[in-house]
Amino acid sequence: MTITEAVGLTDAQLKQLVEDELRWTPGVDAPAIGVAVTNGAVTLTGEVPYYWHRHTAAKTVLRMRGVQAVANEITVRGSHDTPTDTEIAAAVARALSWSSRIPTGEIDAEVHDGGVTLTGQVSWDITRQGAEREVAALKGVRWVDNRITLAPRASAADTRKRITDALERNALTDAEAIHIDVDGTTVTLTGEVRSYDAKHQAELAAWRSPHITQVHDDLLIHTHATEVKP
Amino acid sequence: MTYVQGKVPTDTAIQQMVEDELASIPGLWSTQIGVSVGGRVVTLSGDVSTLEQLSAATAAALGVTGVQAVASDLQIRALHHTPTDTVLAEAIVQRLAWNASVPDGAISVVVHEGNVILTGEVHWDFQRRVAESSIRRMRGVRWIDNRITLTPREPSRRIREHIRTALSRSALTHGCPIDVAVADGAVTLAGFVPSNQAKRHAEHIAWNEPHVVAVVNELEIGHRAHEAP
Repeated sequence: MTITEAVGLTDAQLKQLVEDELRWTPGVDAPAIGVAVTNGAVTLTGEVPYYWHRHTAAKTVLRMRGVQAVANEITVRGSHDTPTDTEIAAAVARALSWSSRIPTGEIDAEVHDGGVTLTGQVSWDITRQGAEREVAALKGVRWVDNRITLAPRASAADTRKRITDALERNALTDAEAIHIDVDGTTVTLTGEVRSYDAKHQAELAAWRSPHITQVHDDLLIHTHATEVKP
Repeated sequence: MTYVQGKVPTDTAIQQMVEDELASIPGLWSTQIGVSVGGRVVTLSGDVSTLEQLSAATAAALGVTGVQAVASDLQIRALHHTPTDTVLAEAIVQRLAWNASVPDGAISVVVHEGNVILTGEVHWDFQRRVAESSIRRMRGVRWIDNRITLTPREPSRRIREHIRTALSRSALTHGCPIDVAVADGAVTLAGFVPSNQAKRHAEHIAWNEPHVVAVVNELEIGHRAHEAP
C-alpha cells in the first residue's frame, strides 16, 4: 500500500504539505529544497550550505503524518566561509575529544574535500552514532561516512526477551506490533509503527542489548498503525 | 468532551520499568540511582559522572509508559581530570562557533566551577536549544543555565491557526485532542498526547511559529476516552 492510500492524500496534496512543513521549520533552507512525490514516496533535492541543513530537512519530513520514507538527494554546496580540510580536521578532533560520551582516542577521522570518514572500534552503537552526530553538526562538513565498528560480542539466549521488555516499557513503541527476530548477534525488526520517532526508539532499544552487533530495521511507518498505549 | 487517561500502569510497575530502563543505558551505573514514584511522577536521586548521563537518565525515565513527569535530584560526581574554567570556556566558545545551527557571535558564555551560563539573543527557540544540548555533551560541564532570549517578535492574529495546522501535519501529534490558546503571543498547550515525546514535540512545533513569545506546555499524557484500551 502506498502512503497516499494510508492517509487518503493525493501526491499533489502530500507535496503541498511537505513544502508547507519545510517552510514552517526554522533551520531548513526551504526555498533551496525541491520536493517531489511519486506514489507517496518523497524525494528531496537541491543545494544547502551545511550538512546539518540536509539532515534536518530529511528528519523534518520523516516526522510528518503519512510519510514512510524519504530519498534525500540534497547536496551540500558549502558557504562563503567554507573552512579548509585542515581546519575541519582540527574542529572534528576537538568535537570528539570534548564529547563526554566518546572514549578518548578510540575514533579516527579523515577529512577530504569537506567529507569526513570516521573509523575505529567502540563498545556501543550509541557511541558511534554520537560521534557521527558531533561531526554532522560542524560547519564545513559536506558528508560523513561512519565506518566505526563495534567490538565483538557474545550472543545470549534471552536477547529477544530483553528487547521485547524494552519495547514494552517505551511509551512510543507497541511491542505487540513489532516482530523481533534474533539470529546470533543480529536482530531484525519487522512490523508497523506509527511514526519515525517510534521506529527510531525501537532501533535504539535493540542496540541497547549488550549481545547485538547488527540491527536490521525493516519497520514500516504507518500513521494508522495500532494506537500506542497510554 | 471528557477524557480519561486510559489503562495506566501502577506506581509500582512504573518504578520497576524505570529501573529496568536505566539499567539498559550503556555506561550508566544505574545501581547508584534511586528511583521513587508517587502519582506517576518519578524522582531520580544519586550520583552520575556527567551532565550528559544525567540528561540521558531523565529522558529515559520520561520515555517510560505512564510516566507523567520526572524530578531529578541527581548529582554529578567530580571528574578526575576536571578542565579549568578558562580551558572549558574557550572550548565552549569554539564549539558554538563551529555549530552550523548557532548564529555567529550571538551567544556569550560564562563558566564558574563547571557551571555554564549562556546569554545572548537568537532568532529561534531551536537555536538556543541546540546551543544548550551541544554544550551538555561536553566533558567538565556540570550545569547549564540557559538565559538566551529571542529577538522581539511582531504580533500576529494567525498564531493559533498556524500551530494547529502544524500539529496536524506531525505523525506524533496529529489527531491528539490539543487545545491551543494564545494571549499576547504567549501560547498555552492543553489536552492529551500519548507520550512525553509527543508532548515535547508539540512544544517545539509551537515555538516554530515566528510570532510566538512564550509557550506554556500543560499537555498531559493520556488518551481520549473512546481510544482507551
